[in-house]
Amino acid sequence: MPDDERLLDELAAALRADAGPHAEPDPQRLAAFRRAVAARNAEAASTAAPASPPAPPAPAPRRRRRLAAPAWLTRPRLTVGTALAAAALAIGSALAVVALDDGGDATPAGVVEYAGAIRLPDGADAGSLEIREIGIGRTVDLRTDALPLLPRGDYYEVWFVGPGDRPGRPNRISAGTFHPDRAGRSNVQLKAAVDPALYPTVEITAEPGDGNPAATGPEVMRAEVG
Amino acid sequence: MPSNDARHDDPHLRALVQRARAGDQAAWELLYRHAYPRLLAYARRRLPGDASPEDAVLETMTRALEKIDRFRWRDGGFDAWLFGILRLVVLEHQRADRRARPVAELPERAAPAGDEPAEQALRAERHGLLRRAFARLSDSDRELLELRVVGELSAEEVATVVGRRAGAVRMAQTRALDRLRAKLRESEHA
Repeated sequence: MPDDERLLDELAAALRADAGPHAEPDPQRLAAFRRAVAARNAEAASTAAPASPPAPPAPAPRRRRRLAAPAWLTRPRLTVGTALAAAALAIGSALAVVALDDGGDATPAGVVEYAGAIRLPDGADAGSLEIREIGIGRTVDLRTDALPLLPRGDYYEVWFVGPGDRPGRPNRISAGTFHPDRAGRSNVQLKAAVDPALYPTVEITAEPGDGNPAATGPEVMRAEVG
Repeated sequence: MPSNDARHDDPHLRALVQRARAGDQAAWELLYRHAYPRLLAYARRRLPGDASPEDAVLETMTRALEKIDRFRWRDGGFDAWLFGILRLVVLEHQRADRRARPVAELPERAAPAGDEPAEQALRAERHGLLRRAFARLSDSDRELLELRVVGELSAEEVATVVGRRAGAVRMAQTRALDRLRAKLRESEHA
């Protein structure tokens, strides 16, 4: 409709008027991106070459030093420093033997980074948690019977929490949401592109079904995984 | 609004993407520069206040680099694909910090030079009214219109970004513009 097109044009002019400058990426970020491209090329070259098979995961280690993965899978905060580190990590990982998978089918094994208890706020064991590094990020396996059923619409949410997280200035990444089944069992597997070394606490909160994606509900379980 | 069909079918862009797939560093840099102003403008409007739009664009391009093998020329094309990635980056930040940056916080900028002062003043006043009315729309209305006018995406491209059908996007756009007119009338009579 002509009126709609005219209003869109007018709105475009109004919004662009406060869009600010910066028609070009700044040199520092451009350099970081170039390094990322170089890292990707190095990784592609190493993937094309024959490689020895990945080592099998150790039997349920409590914690295992994580293998280097493509750093952009695990970027926590968007800073130039992180981007530079990401590129450097990716270059370093180019020759590492990691079973990486860029598709939806994760390798079934992966590398166990944490296998242990998850606890109630009072410290009591409440179930088990396992975190594996797979090619696309991490799988989070949670098994607990200690979470009560929630009112319809509410849900539990699993978070990777980083240093300095606090209300108003959160530093956390959601790994997903779930409900217990009718028997009260919560045996769930979630996936998240997050690095436990950077977000070392797994926290479960009970969230109201209010459409607010931020963490607003009480913490009900926690594990230190990083 | 500019037509984006040409951009979608632009053989130069297709060639760049083809080179980028093969790992051509210069092609990636050109793609970064090609999309940068629009990605940045969108990120500036959508990100919470403490997040860096420049870093969000870098994040978007880095994810695109990782996922380029999965990109296919269909639906909205390469630009829509990039905006889809940026939208996810923005949503991740919004999930971490629900407080989206209010439009009113963006600095007011001077009207472009070249017009008579009276015309500039009139235009600035009209733009101010529009921005205030726009800021009172729902987030979904704002996002759709921002993808159209800030991202300069066609309705088909927006449909790809938000995962809806193009017809549904056009209908949603019409309704959003109707609501914008209503807010404008309220502002004018306030």
